[in-house]
Amino acid sequence: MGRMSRIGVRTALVATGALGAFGCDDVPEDDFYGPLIYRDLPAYSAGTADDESKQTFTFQMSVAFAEGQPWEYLDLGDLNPVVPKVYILTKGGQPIPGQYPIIDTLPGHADYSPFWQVVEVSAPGDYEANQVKSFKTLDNAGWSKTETSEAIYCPVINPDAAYVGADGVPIQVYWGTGEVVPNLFYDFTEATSPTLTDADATDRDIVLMPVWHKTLRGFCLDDDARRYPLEADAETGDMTLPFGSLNPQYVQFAPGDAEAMVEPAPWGNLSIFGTAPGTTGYHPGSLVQAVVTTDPTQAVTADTLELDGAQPIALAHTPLHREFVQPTEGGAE
Amino acid sequence: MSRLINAGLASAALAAVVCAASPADAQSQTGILEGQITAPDGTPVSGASVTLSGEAQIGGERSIETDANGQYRFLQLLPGDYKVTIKSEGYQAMSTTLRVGISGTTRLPITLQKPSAETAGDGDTEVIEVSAEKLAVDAQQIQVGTALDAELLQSVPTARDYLSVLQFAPGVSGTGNPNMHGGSSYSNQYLVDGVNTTDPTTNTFSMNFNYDAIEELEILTGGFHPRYGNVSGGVVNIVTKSGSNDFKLDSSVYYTGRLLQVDSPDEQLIPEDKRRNFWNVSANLNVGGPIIEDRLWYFFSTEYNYSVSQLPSQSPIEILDGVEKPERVYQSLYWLLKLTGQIDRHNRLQLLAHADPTTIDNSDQDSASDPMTETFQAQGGFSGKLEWDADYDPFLIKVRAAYKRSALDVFPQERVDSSSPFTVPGVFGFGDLATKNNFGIAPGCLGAGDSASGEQGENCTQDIQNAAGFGQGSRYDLSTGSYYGGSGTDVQILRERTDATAELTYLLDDMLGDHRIDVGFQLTFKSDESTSRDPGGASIFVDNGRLEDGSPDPYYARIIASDDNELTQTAKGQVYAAYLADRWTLMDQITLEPGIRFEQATHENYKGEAVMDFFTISPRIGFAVDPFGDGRTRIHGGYARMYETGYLGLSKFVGTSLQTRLTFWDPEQGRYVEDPEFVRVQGGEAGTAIDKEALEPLYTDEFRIGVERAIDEYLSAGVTYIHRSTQRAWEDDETDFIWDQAGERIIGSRGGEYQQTYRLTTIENAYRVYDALELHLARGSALGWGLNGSYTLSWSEGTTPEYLTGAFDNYRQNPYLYGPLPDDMRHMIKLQTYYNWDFGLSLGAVYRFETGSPYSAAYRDVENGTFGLRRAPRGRHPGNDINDPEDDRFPRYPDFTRLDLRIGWDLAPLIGQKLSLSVDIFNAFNLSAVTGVSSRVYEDGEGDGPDFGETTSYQTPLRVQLGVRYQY
Repeated sequence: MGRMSRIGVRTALVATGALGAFGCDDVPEDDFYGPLIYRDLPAYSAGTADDESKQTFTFQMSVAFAEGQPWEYLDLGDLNPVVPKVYILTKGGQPIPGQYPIIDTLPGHADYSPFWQVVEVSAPGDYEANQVKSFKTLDNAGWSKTETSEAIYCPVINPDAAYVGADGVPIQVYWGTGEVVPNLFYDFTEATSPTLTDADATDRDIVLMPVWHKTLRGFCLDDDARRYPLEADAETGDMTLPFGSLNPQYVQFAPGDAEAMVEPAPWGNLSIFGTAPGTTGYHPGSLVQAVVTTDPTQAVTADTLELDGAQPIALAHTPLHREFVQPTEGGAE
Repeated sequence: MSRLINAGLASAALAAVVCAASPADAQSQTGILEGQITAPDGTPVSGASVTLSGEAQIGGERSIETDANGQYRFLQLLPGDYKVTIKSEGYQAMSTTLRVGISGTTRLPITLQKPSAETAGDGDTEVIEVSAEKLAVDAQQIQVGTALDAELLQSVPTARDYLSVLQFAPGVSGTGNPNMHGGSSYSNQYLVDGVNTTDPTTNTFSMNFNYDAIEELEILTGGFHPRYGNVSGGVVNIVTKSGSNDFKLDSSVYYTGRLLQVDSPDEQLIPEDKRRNFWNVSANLNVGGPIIEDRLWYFFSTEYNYSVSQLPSQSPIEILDGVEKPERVYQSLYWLLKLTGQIDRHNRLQLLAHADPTTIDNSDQDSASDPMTETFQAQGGFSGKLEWDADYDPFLIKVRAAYKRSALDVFPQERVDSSSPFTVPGVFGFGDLATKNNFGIAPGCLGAGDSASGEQGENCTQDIQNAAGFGQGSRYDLSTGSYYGGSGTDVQILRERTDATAELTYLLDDMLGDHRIDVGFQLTFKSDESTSRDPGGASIFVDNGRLEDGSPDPYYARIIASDDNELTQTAKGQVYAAYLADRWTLMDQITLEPGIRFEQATHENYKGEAVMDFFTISPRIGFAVDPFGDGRTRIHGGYARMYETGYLGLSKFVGTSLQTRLTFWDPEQGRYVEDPEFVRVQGGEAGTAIDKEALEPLYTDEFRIGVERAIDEYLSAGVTYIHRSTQRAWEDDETDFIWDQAGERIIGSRGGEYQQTYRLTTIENAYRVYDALELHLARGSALGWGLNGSYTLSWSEGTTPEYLTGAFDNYRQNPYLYGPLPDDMRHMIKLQTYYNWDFGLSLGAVYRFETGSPYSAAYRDVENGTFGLRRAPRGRHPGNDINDPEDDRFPRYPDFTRLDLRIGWDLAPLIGQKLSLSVDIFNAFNLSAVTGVSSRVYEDGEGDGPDFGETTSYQTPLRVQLGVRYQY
């Protein structure tokens, strides 16, 4: 029971009612329970644990080509095309400023996917941002829900991990309120540590978005609220990502390995994505395809690959982060 | 000539109405008696003679005449029974006896009668004695609380100390330093004969004395007069006896022991010959009488306790194999001397001296420690006051100077020459605390500013282990790494408190009603000095270390060294306060009491720097309404802002200098060696910071409202609602360490040297809210019986239960440590009652029911060697999945019920001497509620103690105490 609700009960019990300082409010409220503990989540969400300390986690950026340019990207693992729901609270049809999206599953669960079907929930007029922090409370409230056929990309990811660029240089992460992560975990509305504002940030930095999961606060990669189309599975009715909308990612194999598709080409060619951010049709979800090549020269566009024999081998989500600049001698840029 | 007429005639002919003294209005340790004399037709009788006498009336019999309105007033009366005699020409002379307590004003309006035919002719000389009709409600009372008089205190079963009876009051929970109406256990004030005995460092109680010396005890739990500062819980106001013109003696002996106690459930699990031994004998002597009749009285009280016990009931019974655990021996000698001198009609002086020296042998009683590691503890305090009370009606003056000193000396038992409360040093200011425990100087590699480099740290611990005395008082075996017991540290603490207070009261009548205007000034000076020394220059603790494979490492230790092995910490404080209050009574039915308190409080660290420096203004207002004008109903309420402005304990922590070296046992070297990754530096210049801009005084806003109604002349019932909101608890957050996301391991140091840096600041979100609805029933002691009962329904919520948050030492644990308090709704039912029969038999009973409190799950904290980590907020167990709150559990202690009985037999009717026997039966139903459970969650079979939820202690089983008492 939320704080306001308890006060309401209390007020009702006090027959005198003389201390009318307490309000009685129908809007439910969740207490803030704590942070999401990523340590217990799979590596694609928590990061790779340091072998010795087991306390620090790392995400290492990779490099691939897209549309002729090298890009850093995160390999965040396999992609479940069947998407769970994310609840976006709205007032007047507009998202409530400051309200975190609410999710109800986590990495490691069968129904988890980094893409989430947007369900818009119409909150009452006196609702204040982040009063509700869980699907359970939201569902009990009985507010009007509108299921859309669009998804947002929001992979739940460890804010405390070390993010290291492909050039070996650490990448800073921050989140929408301007608070540096790691942050003060109690008061999520107020930054007490030095802040990194949008003005300070560079496009090298990674932006996170806070989300609520069962009153726990977690983070996912911020994708700037882009929406991606969904379609209903003809048999199950589940909302899924259309394969055709995914960004093709080509992994090169030597001829002998193509059938087994165990090891990429031994000369270490980088993957090639079909589209890059900023291009119409870019999608952070990837349809990974194997292509056979005998040319050890690094291709930089998909056009130069022999795509006729490309074979889909996996679904993944590998968001391209930024164009990669090769470090000059003596260090990174 | 005086004769008794029957009560029926009295009630028919007279309307003497006494408003019973209910909780407190005055800090004063005295009471006021006032009233109006009227003729049968209701007109005031002026010039009537009102004479006051009684055994509590020092200065002899006093007579005054009523004024033009028929009013009379006696001020500054010592608590006790008084006889009031009224004579007026043309009316029947009459007298009545009543008790005047310390709590506010006792009102005795009297309607005179014409002489009856029987007494005609000598009505102005013959005095008829009548019974005053008492009212159980003081319709002008502002404060909330409970007054307990000596008769009730002596007639019901108690633990025979004033702390144990505090929980008789509604809204008071816990023992020792209780929580009063949601206040923290550090937010109370303890006054004994007006002397503030509250510990200057911890703001807790710090004085023991003989229970039989109590004349009256009141527990204020709301609506504090502005003379009370730095308190937001409750005020305990105790007045001891003062003597009289007659010599009186009260002596008693009480005994209890193992033979008089049923074995508890855990005790029954072990062989009888291994069960815990205990016995206790208490001898008490109280004498009082005149030194100069009517002018100078004395009262002397002493209590000697000798108590033997073995392993507290909370401890697991298992002890080291083949080891006989030495008994804990507690010896105390409490004494109190009070001299009261009435200089003349207007002036009175009172001198009080008190001490409570105590020794405790083998005080640790740790079931896992070797007897050789036991600790000796000597403690005690001395306090005294000189007080001047002047009665120049309409002015009252009270000036008091008080001094209090308390000492504590703890050192290894093996160094004790003798233990006796008669020789405790430091208590009286004579001699120093034990200085023989000079353990030498530390090896010298631990000077301030020492970096936490691994190489240097390793040398330090190597040197420490070579130092003479290392391990003394803490059984330590380098050949195996085995270690048993405490640190062996020698700790000496000396605390002093000096108070000077002056209060002027002006009783201004008939100025748009009647006013009682109080103006007061208070000066307080506090100091604390503590010194610790460690054998070999360091203390060593073996804690919950882990081996590489994650299993417990029994030889994992932390060695803690100070700069020079004589770490002295000092702190001082000064408080200057002034207050003003006006109790304004309109039309005899409406009372308003606006008041305000100004306080400047400064608490300094060891360098004399002000750590806490606050100026506060505390407004308070209360009201009481007698809606029917019959003095039987009181509607009361009010608002108060109460500040807590600091204690030495908060300024003292700044400036300590300790270095902790975490070590593990290396069998090859036969030594503890440091893990260079785990050197911690604590304190010192770099270790403390004060966020002065953010540091604010903690405050509590209180709103209250209630109604009380006299059911008959002795019995009253009422309901009270109280709301307290406490804001801005203080915080000593640690700012250097970087923790992993769960707050379980330190993964970095912001400064790079693992220098713990504590910052004292104020956190706006550190708050708690307490609400309580109380029903209470009280019957003052009269006609051989009394009763005090209550039901309290309370709610608590917020983020911190105490004045200093336990969070922010580890930010990542904040949501759990600093998160919402559990949704805590509790019920409390209390009843104390007794009945004395004329033929000598008496029965007393104390009943208490309390809802069990929530508790939390705690996980192993490798960094601190404790079980202090949480994975769920307060009051929860996180269940199987830390990321799924919906599988959490909400553990809670079971409800607690207890009934104590007292059977007394006064042999005076049989033998003519006031000799009485008593049998106290504690926990008469021998209930075995669980009072302690393990909050530890052991993972992966690592447990070395009771697992989460397992019972660690039960309610103390049925126990009998025998007593014999002689009074003269």
